[in-house]
Amino acid sequence: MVANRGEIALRVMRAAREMGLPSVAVYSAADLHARHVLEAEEAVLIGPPPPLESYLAINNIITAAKDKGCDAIHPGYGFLAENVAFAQACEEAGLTFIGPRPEGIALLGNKLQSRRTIEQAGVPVIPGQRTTSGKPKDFQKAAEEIGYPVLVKAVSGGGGKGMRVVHRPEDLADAVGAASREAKSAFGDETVYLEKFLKRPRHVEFQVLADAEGNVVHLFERECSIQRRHQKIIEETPSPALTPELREKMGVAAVTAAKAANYLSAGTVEFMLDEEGSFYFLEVNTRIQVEHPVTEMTTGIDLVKEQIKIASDFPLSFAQADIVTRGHAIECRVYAEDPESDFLPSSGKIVYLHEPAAANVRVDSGIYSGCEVSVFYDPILSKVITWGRDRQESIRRMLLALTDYKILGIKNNIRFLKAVLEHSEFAAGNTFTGFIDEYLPEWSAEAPAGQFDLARVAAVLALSRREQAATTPGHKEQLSPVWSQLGSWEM
Amino acid sequence: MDFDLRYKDEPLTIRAEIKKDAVVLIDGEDKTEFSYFPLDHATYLITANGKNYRLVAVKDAETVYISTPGGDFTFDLAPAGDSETFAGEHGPHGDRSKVFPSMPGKVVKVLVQQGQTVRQKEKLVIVEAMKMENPLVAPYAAKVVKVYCAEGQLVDTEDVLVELKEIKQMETSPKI
Repeated sequence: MVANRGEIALRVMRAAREMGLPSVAVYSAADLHARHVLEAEEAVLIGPPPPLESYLAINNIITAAKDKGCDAIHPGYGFLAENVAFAQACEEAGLTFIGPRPEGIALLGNKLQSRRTIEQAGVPVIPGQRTTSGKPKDFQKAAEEIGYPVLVKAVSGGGGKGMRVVHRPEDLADAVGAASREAKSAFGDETVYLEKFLKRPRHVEFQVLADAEGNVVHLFERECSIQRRHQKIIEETPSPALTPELREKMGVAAVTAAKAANYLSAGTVEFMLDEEGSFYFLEVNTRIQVEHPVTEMTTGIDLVKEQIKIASDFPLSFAQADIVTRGHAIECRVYAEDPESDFLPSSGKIVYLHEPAAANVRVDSGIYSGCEVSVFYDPILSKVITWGRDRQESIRRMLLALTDYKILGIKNNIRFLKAVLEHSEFAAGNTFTGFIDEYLPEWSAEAPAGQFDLARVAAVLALSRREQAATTPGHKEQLSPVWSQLGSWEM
Repeated sequence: MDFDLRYKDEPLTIRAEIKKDAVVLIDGEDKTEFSYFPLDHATYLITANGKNYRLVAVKDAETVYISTPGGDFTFDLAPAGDSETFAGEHGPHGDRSKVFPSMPGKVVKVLVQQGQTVRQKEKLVIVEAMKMENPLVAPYAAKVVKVYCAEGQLVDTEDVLVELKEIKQMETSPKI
């Protein structure tokens, strides 16, 4: 069973299908016509639209899995992926949880505990609170000790939710309140703690795989410094900032961290890398990451299949020395949001969709032409991943893919992603987590020069068409030969 | 033939002549011809000055969505007139005294009470949508006339959450 929705549910189902394993999808009432439901062999309704009553409703999911005779559950990312109670409930129900052991999630999911464990293993950590009482006075005191600016973080957090940067003491209480409410709603745990906020840091993470026999390998790094609202939107591997020596050092630290936590399955050891090249352990994400495809593109290893194999007690079929990376891969996350209004999520109907398709271009998508993007869930629509022999080639390939990508009907961030990729500082590899705030604040799309006449012609054509054919999934197969000829032109 | 539309909230009339395989745009005395070839239900190959452009145009409800190689355009069909639907954070005709959520969601925090005065940009209500908290702020210094929402309530973009009355500068200056 795949206990998730959207692109990741489809991604996991595809891996299972490739291995000859049938899978069952789950859905909320809002997702009756979602793509992950339409493409599943079987799908079970697990509750009404609010996540707490469906995708986060442990009992409903376990019951559905047992009813359908499932052997294992893959949680995807988000929702219950890092929920100890869920992993335990799976275990108790005799279902294999495709992910770490419950103890592993508990240890690493709690950011304070994981910091202590990893620090003891000799890996450097960011200065911050070691414990949290939740009392406003203690937060004030801790913030003064750490020194402003501080970062308020959810103990059970991830994905940028439940996080706030605080520059002034008078803003601390508000930030703590807002972060806890967001954390409560997103993760079911309102506990937050404080950490030193590093200036111009890079976010560099290492993918690890660990089997039940205790073998741990890393699959090199991903740099995820391009973020908005503390959420990654562009990720790449290799990182433009790592020297072979630093890569080696951080890889060893990542494996050490995973071993210290007696880790199982796929996980990500996140580090902050400062301008001087010092790195600090940030946290371990005990799940498959949104950005896992870039690692797959450069290593050729299917991480979801590895998760499934590890969960079936197979030892890793390769050693560290067997893992080689080739070329450069970039991922762009396509969100239903308005980059011109502070990335406010957008919802509604996608009236037209055309996805890019070309050599070394991968699209992991959860949408189709005619689908509704609901207000209830994370606004991620899809991910575009390109591979190139070097960074420049993968960037150019990505720019072309994004140009070909058409999503009409709802606001999306495609043009913004292009603006980031076209920025000279990005091309130079000068990426850090404050990149967007520093180089693209108040971004707005330039009016497409000389295109207004074309737009008017297109409007006339659309309006004078008598019968507007319904936009249905699968229309791409009906394209005329002219379209395909156009698509294969060379420059 | 005239097409009455709205573009970026301004009226826009497109005058055009439609031929079997071409559209002629008419701007006063100027006529520009664009030949076209439909590729599928929504895409067209348009040729202008010997160059080919692939365009997407879809009409859905009252909106025409267009994608050109240089970017996307949205044209609205019906002239807005005196439509009663309120959208976005501002009311119609620039009336900002009524505060609407910018998207449907759940009220997680009501930070003001009836009768209270608020400063410009002071947070009034926090609405959570798609797991994000979006604070709605006062557009100007104002007195809170009425609060129409409560914490936990699900709200839509047409729901007035708070009604304000602008306070002119004189009234907010400290009393001596």
